[in-house]
Amino acid sequence: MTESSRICFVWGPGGVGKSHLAIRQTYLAPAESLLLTLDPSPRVFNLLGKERSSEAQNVKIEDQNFSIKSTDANRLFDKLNKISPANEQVARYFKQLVNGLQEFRNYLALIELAEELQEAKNPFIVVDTPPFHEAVGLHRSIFTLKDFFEKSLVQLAFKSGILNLGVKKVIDITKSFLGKTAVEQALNFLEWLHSHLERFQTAARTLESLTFGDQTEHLMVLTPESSLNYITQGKSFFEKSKKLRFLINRSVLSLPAISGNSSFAREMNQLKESETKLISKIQEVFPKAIIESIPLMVMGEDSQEELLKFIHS
Amino acid sequence: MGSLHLVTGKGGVGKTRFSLLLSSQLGGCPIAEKADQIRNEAQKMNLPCPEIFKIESKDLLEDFLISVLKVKKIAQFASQSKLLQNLVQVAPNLDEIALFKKWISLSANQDLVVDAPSTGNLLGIFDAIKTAEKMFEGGLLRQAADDIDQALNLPNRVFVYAVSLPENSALEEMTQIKQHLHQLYPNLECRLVLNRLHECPEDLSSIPEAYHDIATKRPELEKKRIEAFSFWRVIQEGETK
Repeated sequence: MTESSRICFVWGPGGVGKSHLAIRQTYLAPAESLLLTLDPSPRVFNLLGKERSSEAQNVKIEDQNFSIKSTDANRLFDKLNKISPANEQVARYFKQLVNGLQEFRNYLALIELAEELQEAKNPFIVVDTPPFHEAVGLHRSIFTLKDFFEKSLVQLAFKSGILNLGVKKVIDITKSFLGKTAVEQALNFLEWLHSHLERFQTAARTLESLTFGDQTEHLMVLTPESSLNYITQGKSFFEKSKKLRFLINRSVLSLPAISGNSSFAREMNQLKESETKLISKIQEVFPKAIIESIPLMVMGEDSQEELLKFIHS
Repeated sequence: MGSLHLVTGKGGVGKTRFSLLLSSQLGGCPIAEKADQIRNEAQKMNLPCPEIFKIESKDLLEDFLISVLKVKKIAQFASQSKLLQNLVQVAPNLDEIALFKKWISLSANQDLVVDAPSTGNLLGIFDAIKTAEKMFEGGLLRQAADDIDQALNLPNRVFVYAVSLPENSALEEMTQIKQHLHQLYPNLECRLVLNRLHECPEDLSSIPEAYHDIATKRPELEKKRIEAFSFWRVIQEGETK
């Protein structure tokens, strides 16, 4: 990325309009910006009428042009394989892990993200993330990524040489879990992974510094119905952020007072109450955060017209 | 034999409330996970609070180690090893398998409702079982994965309830989950539950004009979506029983 590039991470629970917001952010950014999605769901691509792809695709909304692409663990494998070829067993192990393990997928997505962010020449990069419940794991992974590649992997990869007694004991225990063959395979895999250690370590360090850098903003999208737990769960991550913004989508506070005891009136009054509580909680936990809102509107057609209406809201 | 009822869905769709309704429908069977939220919700809904099993994920690795090492002190020491935790991360999803195994054993003789993790994380647990089977030829973890797999293939042993709000992104995700689970376990029944369905207010004149658009168009859009999907159960906004 260039010195003047800026990054915006868009976080939020499922169903709050996060994909719409990520598109809106990219649309409002300078021309030729990039929307990069870590979310395994094709939602953001569907809204733009595109197929999910890790190759950059051009998007044109009115007079604005931007690119969209997703991270892809298998593409990372291909890149690594070119530098240090993996044998068939290691390749199979990698693919199984990608399919089966969330934590591993998180690590790979983050390595890819770090490299993409570094390579990108766009003036503004919007990072669309998976729903917040899953993203909490991603937050943790950002913190543990460096630790994992710097400490544990190094210890494991030296299995043939200077294994200390503690490490040997741990590997013995693991054998009783996984069977001897699987542990041998896991260690072969780790040895291959270790041949890329420097690259991973650099990516992990880059990611941590970019995630909490001066040029990076974190935008958390919530709705009046969102649980207050999202604010407390995100505390340790978001308090490291230099620029933090909360956006209350489908806000009802600007709508007029509504009386009566119809179920509609009760629902709206309850939403107003929840939104007020949500805002006070944000102010209490993150006193410096900016809080904005987008008023409630009828959505659900998933049409281009609707997307435009939302973008200009 | 009991059945295991796993309730999933995106965050905030009403998984806890539905878990309580389901437990009450199943004769007040126990619920696992999220103890405080279940108690609060039961109080709000004026339902008796069922027995709650609180499973701490930090204890799972230790439990598993005790069953291998037999000596509690060594197991506790090993479970705290950062290295083991990381090795476990790049090998199997031990946490997930241990958790699923616990649910299976708790539901062996009685029905159990699990207020389970949100959709992506629950799918991760299902995927971890298949991954362990493909990657490991033996060992305790493979054995645990096989036990879970066997239960998942029995008719009426495990049910998954995917709770959703009547919104497009949520419904698309539910359909993907149903397909994904069907591919992994053709005999596993995945039931779609639609929560918080809105009705058009009877008397629009009592509602300020600023709300008319949302009050009338939202139920119309929801109706269209209901026609496009088939649901096991549809819950109206405000319904408790």
